[in-house]
Amino acid sequence: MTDPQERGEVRDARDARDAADVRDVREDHVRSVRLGHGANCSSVGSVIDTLFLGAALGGMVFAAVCAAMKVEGITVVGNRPPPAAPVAATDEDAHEDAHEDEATP
Amino acid sequence: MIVRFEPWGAWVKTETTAALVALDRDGVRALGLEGGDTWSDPTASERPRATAPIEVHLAVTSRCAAGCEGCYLDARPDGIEPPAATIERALDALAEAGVFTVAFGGGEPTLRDDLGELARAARARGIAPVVTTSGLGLGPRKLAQLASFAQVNVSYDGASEAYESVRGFDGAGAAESAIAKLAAAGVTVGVNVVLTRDTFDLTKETIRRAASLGASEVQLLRYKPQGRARALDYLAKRLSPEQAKKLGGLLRELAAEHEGRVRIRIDCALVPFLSADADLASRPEELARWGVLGCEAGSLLGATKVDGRVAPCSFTAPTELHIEDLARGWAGERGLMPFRDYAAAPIEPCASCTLRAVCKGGCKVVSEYAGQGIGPDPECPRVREHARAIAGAGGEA
Repeated sequence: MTDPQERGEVRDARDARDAADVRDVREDHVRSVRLGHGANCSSVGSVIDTLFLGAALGGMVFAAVCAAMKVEGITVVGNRPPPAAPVAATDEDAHEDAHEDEATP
Repeated sequence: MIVRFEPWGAWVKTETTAALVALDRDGVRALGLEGGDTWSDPTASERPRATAPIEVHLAVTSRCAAGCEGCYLDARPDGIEPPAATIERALDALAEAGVFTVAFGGGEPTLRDDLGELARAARARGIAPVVTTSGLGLGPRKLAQLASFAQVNVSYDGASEAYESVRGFDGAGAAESAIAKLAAAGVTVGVNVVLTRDTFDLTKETIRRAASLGASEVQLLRYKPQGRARALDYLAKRLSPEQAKKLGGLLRELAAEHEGRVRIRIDCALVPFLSADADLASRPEELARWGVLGCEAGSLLGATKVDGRVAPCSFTAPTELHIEDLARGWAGERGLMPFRDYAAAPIEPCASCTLRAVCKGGCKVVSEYAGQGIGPDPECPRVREHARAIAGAGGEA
């Protein structure tokens, strides 16, 4: 397992074929797939034509991203802010509470 | 591929198939990774929101000579252009936060002489750079700069009259020339098509034309009341209620006509219109599974004004957060909270809408324009129906 503190490290060491054997990532692990980059500078865009694909074609897309995840080198990014010091309940706490049941991707 | 841990698992950006994948914890473990603090810290589990935006729109200039009537930024020829070092610090901040995509905008980004260098600076930080341009004045030098981007979208609202009806001048020829030049140069090129009352019925024709010129992707955009478009004629330019209801059917026809050749995208503000399509409204899980995003302002989407202040989206007022503080300040920035709060706990008719988790209440820019603050999108067919029902019941909610 990789320590997430090693964010930014590129893990390319394994041969791609070996990695495919090791990484048992499956379609049922995938919550969502957003295809492509898009290139609009003002509002977030989403591919919509995939909604009209047949199940077989849609399955092929999910299979393709799983295949990619089995072989590509890994770079871990992102940092979380340090935990805040304990404080009395505030409006901000109410904001966080409101989000607890929010759907994730 | 690039992995960013989230409390529910991780975002994974793959390269061989260009995609952003939401992978659950078991899937992340199957990659040989553990989420560490993000998964184990009780604070994290109480904060299911994304740790940072997945996409940030970065205004690299406010200069633009085009003078489009509906410019949401009111960009002008004498606008501001931050130095490259400022933009690079912003890119550092995006990399620190784990942002996957940066969309350069403005103003007209190609007015910057260093645009290609900035794109390469983003790539060097592991961020996919994309850009929107009017395509006006696209010569060899600008073309070479644009080749550094993962994708370039040209603003193209249709042939001459359609283009002019949206922007106030006929720039269709220049835009078409730019699409063709970019495609010939091997650049992945898409088009941004603004849907208005006058252009909606021409959409199929517009997309056929763009495809014939080499565009591989079309992004349909809702006309929004901001900047110079925040005028009374917005009411005449916005889609009619009947057109809004027809969007789902139009998308179905476009997908069938262009399957495998041109990818069709819609922007976040068009998602509420899908509520009028019985088929699409009945399968919200599929919309979510295909990563369709409604209003993600201040959540998965952020924007940066030309002065470096962060906004929930490009159309909204900036907060007090500066882009260079993104990683530390995103989660707690109060100016982003109203957008997140409404998405998390909307009122009716959003609360009972099947598309609620995807749509997140529609475009808040429109609800604010209508004098309703951050609330249900007044142009959503479902919201219109709800308002009619209340009026019919004597105004009792």
